[in-house]
Amino acid sequence: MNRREILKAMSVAAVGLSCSMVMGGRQLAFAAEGKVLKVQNDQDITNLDPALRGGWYDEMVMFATYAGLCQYKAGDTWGWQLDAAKTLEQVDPLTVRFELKPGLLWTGDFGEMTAEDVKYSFERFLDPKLAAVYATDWDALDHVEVTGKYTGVIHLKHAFAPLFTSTLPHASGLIVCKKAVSAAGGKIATDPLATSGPYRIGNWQPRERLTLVRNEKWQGAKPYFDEIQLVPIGDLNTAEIAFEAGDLNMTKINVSAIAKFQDNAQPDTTLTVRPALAYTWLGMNVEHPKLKDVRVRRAIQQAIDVPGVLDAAFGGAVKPAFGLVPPPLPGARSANRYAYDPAAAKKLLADAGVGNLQLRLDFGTNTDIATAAQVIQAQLAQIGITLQVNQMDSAAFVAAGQNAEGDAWKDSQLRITTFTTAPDASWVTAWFTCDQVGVWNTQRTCDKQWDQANAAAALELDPAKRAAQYIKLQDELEETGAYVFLYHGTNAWITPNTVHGAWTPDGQWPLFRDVTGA
Amino acid sequence: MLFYLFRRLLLAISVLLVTVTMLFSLVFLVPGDPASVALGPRATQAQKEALRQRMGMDQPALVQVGRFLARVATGDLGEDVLTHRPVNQLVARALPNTLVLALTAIGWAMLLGIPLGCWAALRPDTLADRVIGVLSTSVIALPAFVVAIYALLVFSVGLKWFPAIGAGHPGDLGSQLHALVLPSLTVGLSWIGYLARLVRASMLEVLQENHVRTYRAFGLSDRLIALHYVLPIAIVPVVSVLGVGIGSLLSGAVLTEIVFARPGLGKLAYDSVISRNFPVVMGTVVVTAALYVLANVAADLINARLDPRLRQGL
Repeated sequence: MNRREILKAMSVAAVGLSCSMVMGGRQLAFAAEGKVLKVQNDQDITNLDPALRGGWYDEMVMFATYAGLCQYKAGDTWGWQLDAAKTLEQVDPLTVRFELKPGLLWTGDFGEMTAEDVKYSFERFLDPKLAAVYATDWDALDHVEVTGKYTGVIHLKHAFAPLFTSTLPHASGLIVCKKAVSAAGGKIATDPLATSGPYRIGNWQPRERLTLVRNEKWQGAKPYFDEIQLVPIGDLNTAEIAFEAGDLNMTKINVSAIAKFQDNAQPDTTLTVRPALAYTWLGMNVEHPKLKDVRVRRAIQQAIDVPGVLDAAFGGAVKPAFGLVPPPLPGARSANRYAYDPAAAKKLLADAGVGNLQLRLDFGTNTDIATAAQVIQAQLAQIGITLQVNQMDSAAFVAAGQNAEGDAWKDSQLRITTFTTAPDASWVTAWFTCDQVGVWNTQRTCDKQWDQANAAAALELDPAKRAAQYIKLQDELEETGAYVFLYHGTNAWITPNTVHGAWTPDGQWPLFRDVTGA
Repeated sequence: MLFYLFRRLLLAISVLLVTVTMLFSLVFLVPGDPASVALGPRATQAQKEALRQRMGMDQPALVQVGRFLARVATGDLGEDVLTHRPVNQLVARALPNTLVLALTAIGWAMLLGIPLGCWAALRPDTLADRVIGVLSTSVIALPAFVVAIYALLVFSVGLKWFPAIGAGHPGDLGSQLHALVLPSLTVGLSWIGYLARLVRASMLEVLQENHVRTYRAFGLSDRLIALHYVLPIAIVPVVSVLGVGIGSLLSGAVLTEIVFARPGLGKLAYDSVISRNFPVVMGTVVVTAALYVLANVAADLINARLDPRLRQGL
């Protein structure tokens, strides 16, 4: 073979290889007909087991495919509506009666949904063999009594206020098929085995596309779209470009992109902005030698002008926070105890005998927080504190505050953290107890009395009393000086005017059964 | 030739072993607990420990390296800790997308870069040569991610000629080729300039040689001499450069896959690093390293076949 023949052969091989690999992807014909909704998902599904699910990227699929006794209502206010249950009634603090709608069918050959499925679904959270990540949602469960084919009673060990706010209507309240799951050894992964919601999984190309199709056995209100395609795109800038190119019909956008779509700036696009169930705060490690003195921490609290920080970072699209509990939830505060006061801050530093203080502010990969951090840097400079701004990979940032990851936490000083939460204040304060020091409580504030008050608030069923308890808990966190509450944030989505979107009130995930054409 | 091939393969295996060892070192150095990332804040310490155990992360580093190598030798790349799917399956799905992207990018580079280089070499120091020179150098200097973003804004958002994301619909060749145009041009653009410069320089060198003067003395046309006698010699360095450059092409493909949300090896590796899904990270890097090594071996063998003097070089 001479040189020319080798070169020719290489060219032909390259073209042939390309074509064969492109054609080798031939698997299933793409259903391009019918009403198809193409939606951005922050990442691909990881686990569709209600007890072991990964996060909202799984939950948005689960709410479309499973049924629960009740589900969240779409709209602006938090509330629930009946789903698989015909009736659902809290008889007393420890007893909840339910009756299922008859004739709800599982996909596959698993027959009808019964009260046995409900019992199995909820009690498996407490099975140590399953090691349910969300076991705490059913911590108060004693057992589920089956009283008939469709009827049963949920018995609790103690009163549990979040039952109707963040357990039953949330993914931990979804009902799985006892026969199907038992046959699979009790575990569900990315194949839900059998479902009973308005959609079922039609096709999954991992990391590429998840297609939901109508569940032919669904007997409830028929959803508008024939098919929903979920495309995993973590980078919201890419998703926004894909929306503008017509490749997506529904995507979340960055907060900094809201202005571009506000006030009908894009006539063919509808912008939906919802207050997020999230909280972002600047925390201080109270065990760090530079931050042990409460006067130093208070000085930092009073030197940061939060509205100024947010104006610079978000251009007014985000409002200041006055605590950890997000405003739609009972227990949100309406004012801080320590207002912005740089003069007082300077005096506190002088009283503490601290001069030329140098600190480091850590945060994860987030351009909005990076801007906020730079403004905080400038504001702290006004009272003589030199702040080093340190952006980190998000997983490394989390690790730097945790005991299990070595001694890095000892060097941790200031951190800006964002948590999202289920719609109950108990899930907001749960991370600031003594047990959580060195895990998620990176401020390392610890007060046993605070922990007891926090536990008591989860048991209180009177909404007004409960709200007051959570406000007091946040007051006490602010008193430690270790917290500067920054913002709760927003979730913003864009859709074409031809799509009428539906989301949970915080906009964390779409409720596909309620999405329609405009 | 067989002895040469044997030596080359031994070297390739050594490179792979070093890569795997370096990779494991990096995994241990990078902060971030994969169990915490995978299970989220609600997980208890016991649940995290159990996951670490399942991932083998409770074992000493050497044991982990040994186990990983033993598995790789049997063709098993492990299990995705999030979805429990075999890494082999994930890689097998992603690999064709990346290979098609890289090969098409090379195709663009050869299709446009070689003719441009020839054209410029046959007209040295003319306006056409200078324009091609400036353009070639400019596209070499353009970072792939900048090209990707502008290509998206112009051709996907503005003109709506090409899709902005994905690799097309499975089973629909037209859709897959349509989705391939922008990413492959993005990856291949700098290589078009690079090959144009390389072929021009190489051809100018060959054009000065005695045998070319002889062809001219025999009255052969410039076109015939260039295409049949100069280009086949001048193109030899391109093979070596493409062999070495496959690594750079693959890294260009990583960035491009992220920007275009194209489900290839690069995006798989990136997503897995972010979620600390180490078995997938290791699987993708091992396969990428193997591809790189194999491409280099292939380039060396082709060069050795084309020029026997090179067989003595190792």
